[in-house]
Amino acid sequence: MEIRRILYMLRQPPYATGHAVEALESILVAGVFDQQVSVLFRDDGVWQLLKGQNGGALGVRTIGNVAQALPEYEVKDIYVCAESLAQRGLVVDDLVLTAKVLSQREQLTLISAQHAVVND
Amino acid sequence: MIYGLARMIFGIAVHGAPYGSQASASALRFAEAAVAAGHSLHRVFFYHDGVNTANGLMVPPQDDPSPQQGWVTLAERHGIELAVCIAAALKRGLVNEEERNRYGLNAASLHPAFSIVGLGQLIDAIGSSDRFVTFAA
Repeated sequence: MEIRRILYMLRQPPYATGHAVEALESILVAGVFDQQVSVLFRDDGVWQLLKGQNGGALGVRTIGNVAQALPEYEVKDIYVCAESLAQRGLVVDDLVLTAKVLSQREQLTLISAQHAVVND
Repeated sequence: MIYGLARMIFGIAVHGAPYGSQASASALRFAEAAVAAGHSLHRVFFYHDGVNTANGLMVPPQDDPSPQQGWVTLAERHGIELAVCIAAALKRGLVNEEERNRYGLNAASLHPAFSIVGLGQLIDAIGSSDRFVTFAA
């Protein structure tokens, strides 16, 4: 099969529901299918990357640790929305992994370049 | 009937639960409209709480339209695969006969019109579609 550019847009907070962990699991799987997978964290999804998380206190997996595994699964293009960070008083040093910070305009360009966007 | 658009192959992902979210019903409306307009749809991929659409033990209120029945009718009429992610389905108690036997469970719960697949089928659906649309939770 032809290699497709697939962008996952993660918008949900890490612990309010089980959504974030399922979304990340599906991205890890997509990464091993030899597709060109990228991830954009935006809106409350940026909380998934906050340093110092401890899911164990809630009896669930630590989402930041799952997210950190992305590069090991060949998902190396990781982006974060500048406005979403600023709105929440966050900076890149608060994040568990190295992500490229994108303006709204740059996100439009990123999205336009994809074959498919999974709005997660 | 095509309204100014080339004939396209659509892929659809449904992430929201029936009744709990608008996602499943909106996705169904979209799918019906796409097919009615002459486009084709090979596979609908249910993930997250969207897999609950495949629960064969639901008893919908008589007065309400059933999103599940809508999917089943559309799929049978147009040969569309209704695919449920195995990882998301098993932990929510959605099992077919094969999984029921594998795990020694009391009953199978998956509606027979739906099939249990791996996440690779999502990638395949994306790869074989001209347009891929997510109905998010």
